[in-house]
Amino acid sequence: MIRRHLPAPLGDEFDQFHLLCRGSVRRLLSAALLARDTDAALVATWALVLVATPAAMYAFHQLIDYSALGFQKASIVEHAIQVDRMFFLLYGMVVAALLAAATWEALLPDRADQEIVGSLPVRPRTVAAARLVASLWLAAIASAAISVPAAVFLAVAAPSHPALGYFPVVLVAHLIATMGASLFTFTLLLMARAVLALCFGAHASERLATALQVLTIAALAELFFFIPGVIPVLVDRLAAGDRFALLMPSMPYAALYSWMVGVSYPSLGFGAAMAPLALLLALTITIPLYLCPARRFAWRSLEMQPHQHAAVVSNVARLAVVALPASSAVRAVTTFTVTTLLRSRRHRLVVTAYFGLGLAVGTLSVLAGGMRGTLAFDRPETSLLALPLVIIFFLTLGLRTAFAIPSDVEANWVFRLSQPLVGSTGDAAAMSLLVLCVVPVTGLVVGSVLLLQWPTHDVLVLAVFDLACGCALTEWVLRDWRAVPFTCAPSGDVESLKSRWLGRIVPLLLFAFVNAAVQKAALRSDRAAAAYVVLAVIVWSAARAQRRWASRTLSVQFEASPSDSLSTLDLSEAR
Amino acid sequence: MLLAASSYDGRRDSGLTDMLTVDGVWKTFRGVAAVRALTLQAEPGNVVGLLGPNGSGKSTTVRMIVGLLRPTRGCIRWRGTDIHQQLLAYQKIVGYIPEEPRLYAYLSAVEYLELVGGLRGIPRETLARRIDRYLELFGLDTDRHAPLSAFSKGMRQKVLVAAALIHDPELIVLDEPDSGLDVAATLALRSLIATLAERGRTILYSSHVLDAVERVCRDVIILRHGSAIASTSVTRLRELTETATLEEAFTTVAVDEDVAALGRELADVSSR
Repeated sequence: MIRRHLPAPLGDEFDQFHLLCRGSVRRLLSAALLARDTDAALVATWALVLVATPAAMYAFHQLIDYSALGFQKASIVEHAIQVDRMFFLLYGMVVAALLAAATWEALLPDRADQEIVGSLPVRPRTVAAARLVASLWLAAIASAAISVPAAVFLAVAAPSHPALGYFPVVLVAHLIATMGASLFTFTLLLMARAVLALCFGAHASERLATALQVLTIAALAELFFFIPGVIPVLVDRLAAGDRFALLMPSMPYAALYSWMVGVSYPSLGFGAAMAPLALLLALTITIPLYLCPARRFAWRSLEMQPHQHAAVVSNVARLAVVALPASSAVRAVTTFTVTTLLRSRRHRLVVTAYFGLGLAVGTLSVLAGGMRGTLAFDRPETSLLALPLVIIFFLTLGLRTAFAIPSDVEANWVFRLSQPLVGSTGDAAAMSLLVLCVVPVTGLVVGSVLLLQWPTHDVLVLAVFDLACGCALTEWVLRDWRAVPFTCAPSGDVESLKSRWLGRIVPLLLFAFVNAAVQKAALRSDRAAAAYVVLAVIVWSAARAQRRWASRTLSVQFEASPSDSLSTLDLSEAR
Repeated sequence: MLLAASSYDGRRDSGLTDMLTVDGVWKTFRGVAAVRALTLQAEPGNVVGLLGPNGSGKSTTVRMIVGLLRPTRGCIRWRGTDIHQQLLAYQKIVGYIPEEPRLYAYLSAVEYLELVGGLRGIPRETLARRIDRYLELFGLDTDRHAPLSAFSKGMRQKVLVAAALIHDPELIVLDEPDSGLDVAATLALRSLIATLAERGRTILYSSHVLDAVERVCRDVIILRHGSAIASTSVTRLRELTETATLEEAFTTVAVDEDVAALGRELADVSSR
């Protein structure tokens, strides 16, 4: 349609743009995939279902709740519904940020794109424009998947009370406000991606993905656990007409939503006008940021030598591995494991997801301590002691999960030919967990409590506690480990993610929260501390001996049996 | 030692503009010169071989010629015009097979060729017909919908050959095109190159397989440390170096080290 009205050269460029848009969508999906051989369309569908479900379920729950509001005062209902609307807005924004983090490396055309498209008669700006449009289209699809079911449920609930709004208006307002908020967040991150690439180069910009991933996962978890307590405060500010509060990214969209539905708060019109303007401004800045330096990005991506990611960190980790008392095979596998994790974005994505969850749950425990009045920073308290244990727990599980995802199955012939012993691969996996998780987290704990000016004695004892607990946990998670990390091909079988998580809640409670209470008690006397450490070391040694004993007759696995396969999401109850 | 180009000397003054000219080109990366003052010419109907040890600047030269990299100094001309003045128009007539089979691995062979053909503006019906024919001739038609990630290196290389030729280019730049191909496909590729040259295409052929270069190319340029140390016809090069084959000539001109002694030392490394 558009094509027919364009002059020939522009028409040709439009055809190229159209083709590149389709390719870009697949490139973006491919960047977000954890395993290379998986079906992008299938994973995208499941991911959409996964992110749409919480919002839809929450809205459905509200549908039932709202039906009981018939005799409530309008002001009370208005406040309650504002809180719910704010939740949907924040949820959409966090999911948009998560999408940006997952597709971060492909948001701008990179070296791989230029290698393929660079020799073809295509303008770099056409490639960049196609990537921008494809990214926004994906964000819009994700946003629609979250918003449409919730909008339908909330619209159906509208006749329950006059303050809930008019059925079609609620439907349209919900879609416009939530999708606008999501697209605004996504566009801001696209802008950040382009600015960072422009100012600091593509590599520095790509490194931000890991941090963004941690933040968005933590924010997503906090949204369910913690933010419901904060949202009413935000709504109060909106109701009071606080113009300063409108500077928070979600607030103009909340104002727009309320204004469209017909809520009569002061200065709502100002906030409502800010929402589309903010999105328009973000797009107006982002489009030239993508298109104008496209040629420069293209040349620069090809001129730059391929970069070794995390070279400094990997060298430090390698030195740490060399210092470990282990056989050469164990050291070799440990070095391979550490280096692979530091260089593989896909595996880091898995680990950062777990780390983000750990951060959220840990923060929650600290905040809960604060609410109960038991939080203190100048002495060991259970809520504070639980924080590193929670992070060690999630990080260890995340690493264990990442180890089971192959980096390059076809390259595992090196290990197949050398045939390391199962005991050695288990030792290497355990050492990798120590180097990548237990030791750094313990180091952070030491640094943090030193900053809090705890007595040196307590700091040292706590470091030994966390190290010992981390070692014991490491052996527990690796009790059935039989492979070289990152080399075992998945079997293709599926198992329920729910069943695994239910099985991990009790260990989490025991390891982090009960254990923190025990640590607090053990810190009161040297004798108790010594007994605690001895007990932890006994648990560690027993678990290690059991693992090695169980592995003595087994051979290293390079193809997972169905029971050991990688967890994939399977929400079906049918099987 | 520069073995000056007897076969080019006459052409330089002939006023021939229907050719590719690389004129005093330099390429530096962070101050390090990968290509130094390189000059070469390639005319229609001729296959020019680009030879050199690893790191001699062959691939950088090739990437500059197809417009992937911009020379730091000097100029690359096609029919007398600097290629960077009309890069898009120039890239329309270039076919390129890269050294590494870089492809979007999640696309199938058909999807990849449709993407390349579409970006080159080939009408849909013509493109479909050509894709079918290439896949059939390369024996890939049964794998046409399999993702390229499932292809062997040789199969990917065949897809790249098809992608490079699908728009009937005037200038064809081949960087290690026979890498990963089986014997039959390699022989077919040589025949293809010879046929295209007969049909007046300009062909630049970069390779380590000296036997193939000797059979296919009339002229060769030997690079070392980014500079051309020989630029002449294959026959003349053999005469000048008083050798029987191109391999011997190349060893005389471009290889400093005693390769036989190096081989013995390599064999000894692990046995000591």
